[in-house]
Formats: sequence, C-alpha cells, structure tokens
Amino acid sequence: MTETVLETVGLTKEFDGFVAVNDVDLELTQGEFRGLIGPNGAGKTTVFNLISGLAEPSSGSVRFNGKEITGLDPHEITSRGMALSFQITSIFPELTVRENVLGALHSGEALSNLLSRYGTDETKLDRVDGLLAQVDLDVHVEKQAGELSHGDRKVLELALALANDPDLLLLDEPTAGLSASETDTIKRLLAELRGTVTIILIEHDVDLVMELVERITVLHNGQVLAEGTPDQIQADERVRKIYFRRDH
Amino acid sequence: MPTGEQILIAVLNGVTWGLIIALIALGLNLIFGLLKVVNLAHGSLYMLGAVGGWFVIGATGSFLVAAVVAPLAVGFLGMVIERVALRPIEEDIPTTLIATFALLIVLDQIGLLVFGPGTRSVSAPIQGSVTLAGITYPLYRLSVAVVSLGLMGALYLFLHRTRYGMWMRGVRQDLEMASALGIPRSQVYVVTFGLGAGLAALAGVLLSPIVGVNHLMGLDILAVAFIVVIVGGLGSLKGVLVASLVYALVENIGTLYITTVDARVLTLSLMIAFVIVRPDGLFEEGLG
Amino acid sequence: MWSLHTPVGTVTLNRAVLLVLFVIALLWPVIGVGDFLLFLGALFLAFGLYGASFDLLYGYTGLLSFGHSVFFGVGAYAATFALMDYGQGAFVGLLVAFLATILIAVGLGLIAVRVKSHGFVIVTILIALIAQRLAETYSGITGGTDGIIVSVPDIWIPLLGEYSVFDPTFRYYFTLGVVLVSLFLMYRLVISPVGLVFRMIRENEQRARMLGYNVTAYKLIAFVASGAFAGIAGALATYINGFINASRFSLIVAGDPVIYTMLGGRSTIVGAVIGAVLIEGAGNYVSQVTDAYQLIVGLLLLVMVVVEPEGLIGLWNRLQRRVKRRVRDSTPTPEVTTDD
Repeated sequence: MTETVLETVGLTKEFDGFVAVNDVDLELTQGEFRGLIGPNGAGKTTVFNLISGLAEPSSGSVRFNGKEITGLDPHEITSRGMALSFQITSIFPELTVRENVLGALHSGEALSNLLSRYGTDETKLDRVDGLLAQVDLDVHVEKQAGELSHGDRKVLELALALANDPDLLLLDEPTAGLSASETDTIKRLLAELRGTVTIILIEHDVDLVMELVERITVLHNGQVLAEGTPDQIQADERVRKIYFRRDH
Repeated sequence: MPTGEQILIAVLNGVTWGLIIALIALGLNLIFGLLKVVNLAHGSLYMLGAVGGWFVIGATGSFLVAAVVAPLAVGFLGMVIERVALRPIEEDIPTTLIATFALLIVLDQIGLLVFGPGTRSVSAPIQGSVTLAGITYPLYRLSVAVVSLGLMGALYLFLHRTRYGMWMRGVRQDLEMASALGIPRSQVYVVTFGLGAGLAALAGVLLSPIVGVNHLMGLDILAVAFIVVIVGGLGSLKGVLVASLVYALVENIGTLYITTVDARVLTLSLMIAFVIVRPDGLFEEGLG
Repeated sequence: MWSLHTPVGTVTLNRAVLLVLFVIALLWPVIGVGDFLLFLGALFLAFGLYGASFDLLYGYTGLLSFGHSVFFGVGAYAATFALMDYGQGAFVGLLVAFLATILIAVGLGLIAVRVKSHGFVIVTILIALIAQRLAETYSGITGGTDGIIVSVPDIWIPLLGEYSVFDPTFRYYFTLGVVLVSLFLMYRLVISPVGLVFRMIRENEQRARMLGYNVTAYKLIAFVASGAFAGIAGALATYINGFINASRFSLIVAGDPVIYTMLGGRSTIVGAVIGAVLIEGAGNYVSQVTDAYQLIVGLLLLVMVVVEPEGLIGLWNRLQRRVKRRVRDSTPTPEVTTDD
C-alpha cells in the first residue's frame, strides 16, 4: 500500500511581480526518495521554504499526511512530522552534541516533563546515543557542537532532523561546502536512509542525486520542467538543454 | 471644547516637537542600521549636549557657539565610545547592549556630578513671536522646526552625495559587498556613531530653551525615541520621521482634552497597541 | 580539574567553593555578625534572588531585559497592598506578589516577545521607563518617592511557632528559606526539558522553531517565570526594609540584576547571587565615602563587559585553567598532554 505523504497543488510564490515558483505540483508516496534539482535560481530553496512554512505561498496548497498545512507556522508543520536540514548548518553551538539531539527529540513533550531532568530518561538517551552511533558521532557526544569539524556539524544537523522519526525529511544541499570524504559520509548515511523515510533532497550536485534517488523533479524558472527516474531525466532533451549542457 | 486657535498651536507644537524627536531618533536608527547596536545611552548623549551647551553659554554668552561646540564635543565623545567600548565587543550584540546601558548610567551620573540635581533654564537666542492665522507663536520654536528640517535635509544630502554617506549606505545594505569593495568599515562605524551622538547633542542644545536643562532629561527622550523607532521600523529612517510626527501630534492635541501626563501615557499606549498589531513597525529596514 | 574523591562522591574545586559559601550563608547569624549585617545579609539575598531571576531570562534564554524593575516593583507593591489594605499575612503576600507578577508578565510578555530581533530589549526598557513615570505620577497609590511604611505581621511557621520580622535572626532565616526554595525551583526549571529548550532558543532560535518548538510560547514562559521570581524578590526586599517607594521602578533598579549577573557570571543562577552580594556589599561601604557610587558601578559594568563578558566565574575558570596548565607543565610526566 502506498500512501501519499506530501502533495502540493499549483504551488506559486511571487515576490514583487517576480514569480519564483510557478504552479508546482509534487506528489510523494511513502518511502520515496525524491531529488529536486535545477540550475541556480530555479526556485528549489523557495519550494523548500513553501513546504516547511518558512514562506507563505501566493497561491496553491500543501497537503502533508493527508492534511492541509498551507499557512501554518513552521513549528506547527515541523511538529506534525516534517524535519528539515538547512543549507547553512544550523545547530546549537554551545550545547553538547548529545544535548543537541536530545533537544530535537523532546519537541512536543518538553512541557509535560517540566518536573523531570532532561537527559535522565533511559529510553530517550538510548535513542539519542543510538542515533549518534548510527551517524558516527558517538565519540563526540560530550563535546560542544561548536567545536565539531565542519563535516561533523553537517552530520549533526542531519541527526537533528532524524531525531523525531520524521515522516518527511526535507534536505537542502546537505553536502554544501563539504570535502570529498565528508560528502561520502553524508552520501552513505542518505543511502542507509533510503526506503525508511520519505525524503526530498534538494541538490546542486546532479551526480550525487543521480546516484541516490529513485525519482527526480527538475525545476526551471520556478516551473516543473520534467519528472522521472534518473535514467529518464538523463535522457530528457529539455533537461539536457538547460542543465547538462552547461554544467557537464 | 478647544478653540481653533488652540488646536493650531497644538499642531505647531506637535510638528516642532516631532521634528526634534525625529532628529534624535534618526541618529539612533542610523546607528542601529549600520552597527546593529541599540544605543541605550542615546538619551544621555542628548542630555550631555544640553548640559554642555549650558556651560558653553555660561562661559561665552553665545547660544550659537554652544550649538556648535557642544554637539562637536559630544560627537567626538561618541567616536571615542565606539572605538574604545563597542569595537572590542562588536561581534556580540547582547554585550554591546549591556555596554550602552552601562554608558547610560555612567553618563547620567557624570551629568549629575557636574550639573547637579534640578532644572535650569536657558533663554532663547531668538526672542519675539510671530502672528499668523490669528495666533501668536514663539519665533524660536518655529526656528527650531526649520533648523531641524534643514538638518534632516543636510543628513539626506550627506548620505546621498558625500563619499562617507555613500559608504554608510553601502555598509548598511550589504556589509560583505562593502568590505569587498574596500570600504573602511571600522572608520564608517566610528563616523556613524559620532554623527548620531552629535545630532542628539544638537537636539539637546536646541531644545534647552524650551524644556530647560536637567541631568535626567535623557531618560524621558529615550522612551520617546525608542517608541518611534519601534513604531517606525527598526532601521528605517523614513518610518522614524513619520512615527515622530504622529507621536508628537497625537500627544500635543491630546493635551487639549486631558492632562499632560495622561496624554503622554495615552500616546504611548496607542503606539504600543500599534506594535502589538504590527510587531515589525511601519516600514521594515530600508533607507529612505 | 582539581578534585577530591571521597566515598560520598567527587568534590571539585567549584563545588567546594559553593559549599563553603552555602555554609557561610547558613551560619551567618550564628557567627555573631550583629544586627546590621544580618539586615544587610537578608537584603542582599533578596537582591540575589532578583539577579538570579534575571539570569533565568538572559543567561539561559538569551532574552536581555532592562525592564526587570517592573516585576520587582509590582511584586513589592502587590505584597504591600495584600498586607496593608487586606490584612493578609506574609506568606499570602508572597503568593500575591508571585501571582500578580505572573499576570503582569503575561501581558507585557505578549508584547515584548513578539517584536523582532532587538525589539525585545527596546520594549523592555520602554516598559521600565513608562512604569517609572506612572509610579511617580500616581503617587496616591504608590506613595511616590516618599513611599509607604510597610508593617509585616508576625509570621507563623508550622511546628516552630510565631516570629516577628523585627527579629533580625528570624528575618534572615525567613529570607534565606524563601530564596533557597526559589533558587531550587529555578534550578529545577533549567535542568528540565523546558530549560533545554530555553538554551536552544538562546543558541539558535530559528533551528529550535524548525524542530517543532513554539519559540514564542517558550520565550513567554521564560519571561513569566523570570518575572514571577523577581516579584518574590521584590516582596522580600519590602518585608526586610519595612518600606517601599516608587523608585523601585527606576531604571537604576532595572540595571541592578544585569550588573549582578554580568559580574557573577551568566547562566549559572548562583553567579547572580554572588554578584549581588559583592556589588551591594561594596556599595554599602563605598556609598558612605563618595557620591559617585552609581558612577563607579556603571564603570565597573562597562569595563566588565568589554574585558571579561563571562564575569567573575569566567575569570575564575580562566585562572583555574592557567594554574592547571602551569602545574602540568612543571610536572615531568611522560604522558602526552593536549590542550583544551
């Protein structure tokens, strides 16, 4: 049984007469790994913002797990099971690595545990330490997040997004600015995630996307130019014209 | 019911008062726009201007000399403050706020030590009044309004026509780009703070014949300057001018119907109600 | 880190120092310091609570407020009215102070936490300035600068009987008790999951929001909790002084907890208490010698934030590291040392 996790209908965003995203329809089924690519200025990050509630669409709608989420605040959307990882690394630098993930895990129930100490719940600690082991950060648990290397910070960012077992993972260029070996680490982690969670991967690096995902949506000038399997996309003349000719 | 004449006087008072507030708040918002520092000592610089002016008038007998010397001295003090106290911590915005708060205490206490408690009056350099539309209005107040307008025009020209002004607008719009173009950021910061401080001090000198001189006068003006900055929009120069005029007009017309204190509280409440509805103020950052 | 392993646990130097300070606070009346120092001790503890409540907001949540005097003042006046106008006892007075401050903090917080970026600071200082003006203007209610004499009825303590607040030793222990309970509650809050969210907001507000936290609501919680304890501190200070006036709302009073916290070290809770005792203790002597006391405090704060923003605790930690390094360097051990 395949259920639709995310559906956008006619998603459009205008800024002062400039149409950044134009009538975008997306549909993701459970467990799907979708790549969202397109040249600079194609509207990838704007789509990311519209889905996560960071920006409000001019028209069109977003449905998540069968419910309308258009116009909700970002924290309302993310607390319904959507998780994000940002292009610019966004972690809590003066908290320890463990506290970072613990904080991500608490969302939604922090208030009801007002009388407890954070970090004493064994099941939660196991979950946090398990997750950190999974992403190879277990040697750094007590370190301040700000002291991590750039690559490890990106991994931590990913761990924050994974902490709450999200239904949908939105990743905006998770390998931006990383070295080749750091990119490989992220790639390996993403490959492990394939099938366990629905993912939208926004990427500039087309090769990375081709290797990882099952389906690709190509954005161009804010519109969906093509959609299909990596092979279909690679063979698509229109995509080749705007994309592969220039970069590859 | 107030008469037409009373209303006209209230409007004139409101405009004059609004322009002066704008002069002070413009410096505050200019500093915020560039340095991201909320200068809590801005009212104290205004007070120092008035106090300094009072001493200069005492020594030279000339209001004009005071209006030149006091703002220059306070402007220089502002540059020293930026260089010595704010520069080392400019990366850490909350700490700069605490530093400017400490400056507020220090400057107000210096004001108290050199000037003493109590209010002293300053006689206006321009006596006499004008009669128009059936009312007589002090000539000095009209002059203050005109001078304030002129200063704002000069500020506009400074920002748009001079090298430093262009630099300031550049740093404000895109710090990285400005640095890449070789604009001396630190120098621009020093000049901006000095300019803001000087403007506040000049407003202090100009207002001293109207409100008198007192070592606590900075606190009153600080509240007003902040509310117009919040209502006008943090960093927006256009917004500050509009909000200042609205604030002063509402308060002055209000005093025709209710007591002065109640009018002030009412105006502040209205402004705060506005902030609740529009937390970002009239205009978001943009250089008018 | 210097530490001593004992059968009951590890004693680090920091813990040892805290323990010594705690014992001094506990034994203060017993070591025969005299009535005046007992009075000052109680007063400084109340100020310490005031500082710690500010630290909860600034040190943990990253919200810098220059309007804390409003809570201190509202708490003080609420307790005063409960005692003087409604004949209530001291404990009810504290409760009224607590609840009244919560009410005010919710109202003001709804404005302050919604304004973007540094708007919060500006709104809090505005609130302080307006409150000061109102308190001076409506002197019929507040007593203006002349103030109101507050007589606190005898306090009945379960199992121990009734005591007068004019008894310096009782007054001291009563204050110490209330302050310790308040500090403990604040400590529990900062180590709870909610406290972790506070620190997340301080570190990266946007990220906390995108992890599903209603950041505005948590800021409001921090604002209100912090305000409520400042209200208790205000009520305590009034009981100890037996007097209250409108200057409780002044901007100088708003700056006090900032100074305590910056001096003692932020996000430590106890740092602000140490800062309060040092500043007020020094102030008590300095202000007898010179009129420029506030000037000195202002300069101290300025130098402090420019030179050592982490306060005395920051200096202390740095000193410890340096000593540790020197000890290590002078000890000829073959093991590899790595710098932290």
